[in-house]
Amino acid sequence: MAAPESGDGNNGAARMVTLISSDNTRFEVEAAAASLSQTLQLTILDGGGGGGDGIPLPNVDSATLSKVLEYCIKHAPAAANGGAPNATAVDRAELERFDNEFVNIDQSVLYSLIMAAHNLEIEGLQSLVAKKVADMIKGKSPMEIRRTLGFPDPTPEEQAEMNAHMLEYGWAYE
Amino acid sequence: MGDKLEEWEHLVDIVLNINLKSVRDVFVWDFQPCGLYKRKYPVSWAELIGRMPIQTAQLPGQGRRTMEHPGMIVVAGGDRLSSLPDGLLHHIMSFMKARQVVQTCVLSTRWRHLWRSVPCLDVDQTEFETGVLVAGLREAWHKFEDFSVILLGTHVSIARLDTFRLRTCYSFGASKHASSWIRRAIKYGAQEPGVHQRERASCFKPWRLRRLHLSNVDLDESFAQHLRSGCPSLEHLELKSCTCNFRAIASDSLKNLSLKCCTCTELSQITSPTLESLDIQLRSSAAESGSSNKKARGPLTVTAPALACLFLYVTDQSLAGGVCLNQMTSLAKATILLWDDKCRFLWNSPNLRKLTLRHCKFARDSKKQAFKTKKNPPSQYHDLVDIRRKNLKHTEIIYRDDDIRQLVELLLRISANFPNNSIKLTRVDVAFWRGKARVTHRARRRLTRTYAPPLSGALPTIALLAVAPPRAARPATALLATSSSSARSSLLPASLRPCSPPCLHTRRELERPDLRACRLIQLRSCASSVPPSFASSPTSACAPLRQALPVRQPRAAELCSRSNLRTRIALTRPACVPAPRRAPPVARPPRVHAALPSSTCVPAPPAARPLHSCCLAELRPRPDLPRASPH
Repeated sequence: MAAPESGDGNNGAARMVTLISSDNTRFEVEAAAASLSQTLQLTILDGGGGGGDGIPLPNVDSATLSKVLEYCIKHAPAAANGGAPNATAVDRAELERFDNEFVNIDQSVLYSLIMAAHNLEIEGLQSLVAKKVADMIKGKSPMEIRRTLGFPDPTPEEQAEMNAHMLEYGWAYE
Repeated sequence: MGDKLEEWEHLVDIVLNINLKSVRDVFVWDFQPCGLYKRKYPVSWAELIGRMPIQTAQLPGQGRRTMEHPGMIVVAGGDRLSSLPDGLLHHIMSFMKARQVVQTCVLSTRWRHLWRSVPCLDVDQTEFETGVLVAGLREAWHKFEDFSVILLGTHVSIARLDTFRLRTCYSFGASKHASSWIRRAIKYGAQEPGVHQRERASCFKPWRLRRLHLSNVDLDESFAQHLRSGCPSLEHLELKSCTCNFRAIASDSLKNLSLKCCTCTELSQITSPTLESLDIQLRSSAAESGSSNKKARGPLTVTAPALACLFLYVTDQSLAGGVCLNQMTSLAKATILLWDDKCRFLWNSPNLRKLTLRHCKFARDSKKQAFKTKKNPPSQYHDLVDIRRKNLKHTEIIYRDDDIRQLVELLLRISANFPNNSIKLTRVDVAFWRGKARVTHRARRRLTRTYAPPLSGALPTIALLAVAPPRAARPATALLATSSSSARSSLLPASLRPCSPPCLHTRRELERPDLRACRLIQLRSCASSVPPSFASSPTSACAPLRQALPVRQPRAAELCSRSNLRTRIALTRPACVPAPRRAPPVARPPRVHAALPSSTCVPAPPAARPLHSCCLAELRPRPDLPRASPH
């Protein structure tokens, strides 16, 4: 992968950092890609993560982390350009296509992803997944949403509560 | 911060002390305020999380435990979506429209009250529309009205939101109703919903709204007033198809302002020290096109020193008073489309790098008309072009009228003063646009772009002007104008029309009805490299012209020469110019030129003058045009 030019340019070659997932898998990525995470960026700027000692991420498992890093690596060049005024339409379309395919995954992975994005403070990824989840909810009735998103069936009390609630908020259901 | 820290420690202890054998996962979230956590907590983020062996809350069985502790919730059971923290669920909700957001309250107990604290609300009438029949629309509107009134009136306060979008469609006086919601929100907005009305009015608080998008809403003076005083954190304001009955937009926090398709009958001032991006697309209203409203309309004055990006599209009727843009020192990119003959603008924008002017006319008949406002007297107008702006690199000017005398004069001055500038000048015939009067604004832009430099036979006339960047501080400039059969001598400024014998010929040439092309080259300050095909004219031949040229260093101004079709063809011959598109234009004294048979090459000049580079348009020979000179 072409090394994205980092603004500070303190190291000539792309600097690598090691991330350690909760199940002790080590991931080595370029600092520029990892810096998409605001949380990691602070650590990396402090000089952490290089060499043998990685950055432990005890609340992200390896499957999720690899997915997160896939996103980061793809988006790092565009982010390095700072909003990329000179990005071509082709580049943008390519990123969009990547994003669409990227979130076309199982729900449980989506939730792990959004949690990881939240914890690592990767804004773009969080928005991407949030939008995907919102799309799964959009245009569906409450029952359909429940079915789609695998909500447990409501208990009878809950059902009664819901019914009362629906009466109260009838204006939103008409 | 100390007690917060303690609270947090306490919290961590609670989490760690939960009997993990009976708990499969504990989900800890919400480190709000994040700032506290990130900056103040002495232990590093990774370390802290490392102390918690568990992440997701899910108690076995159907037991449900919620720990009533600020900053932490342990959610048990249920689906994984519900186990996400409020912040994330709100983020998800921000991509949904308001009605759907409210409807999530019946999903489960977890979702019951989530929507009440949502920071982003998108109230959209289209969400209620089911059919296209009028009856369906009316029903949809009623539903939408009920929903919005209840939601905005009793449940959600706009003032407490971070982002608010309100979109209504043209139907049943929607804009009037919507404006009353806004008015009420301004009056009573900043309070908790449900507070007694009298208390509300007594303790007015500013909105904390950051983004506001309104579509098809009538806005009056109170809105502008509130914008000025009641929205200290508003950064993005987008008004679309709104009717703006206020005079001024002023804000100390606004960064992006966008007025799209708005009818602004009275707007005369936009003031914001922080404004970075301004997008004005005004539409003319039917009511305003009447002469009565046009009377004493001052120009729209934009005062935004921090503005970096400007897009301006106004029509004749929408801004009868013109536009006045002042002191934009950081402006980097500007696109201006004016269909008006009264546009005037003043740039004091040293950082401007790209400027696009579309359909600007600097004066129709006389200078008087163009400069009649005191905002922009002629002296300032000259100042405008006298400023050296080395940063200006690209200028694109698209115009549509025959009379561009003023324009050419302006360009000549620009070429003298902005050494790094390259100017692309595209003329689009009026008839061409009239024929496509229905095309949308976007389509227009596309068409113009498509037709710009590569000359197409379909386009009546195109003129291209290129100012070559000089190698050193001494500029060599060239102006090249190409026009098709409709070209007239008015293409050149009157001051450029020569009167002495050597140049009479020029005039005659220019006024020829079958004129296909003319080129105007203004040469100054020769450098060392001399293109072989380049010819210069004796200074004496152009003495009258030199006087006439509005250049700043008359001594350096050497020549204004033009060529008609024959020259153009000669230029394109491979024998003469190996690479026609890149070759510098040939400038010769008119007499020499006239004497040349069309097929001969340009003779080598005794004292050639260099031109570093020049853009030429339409160098292809056109077989339909006459080759031989009638002279």
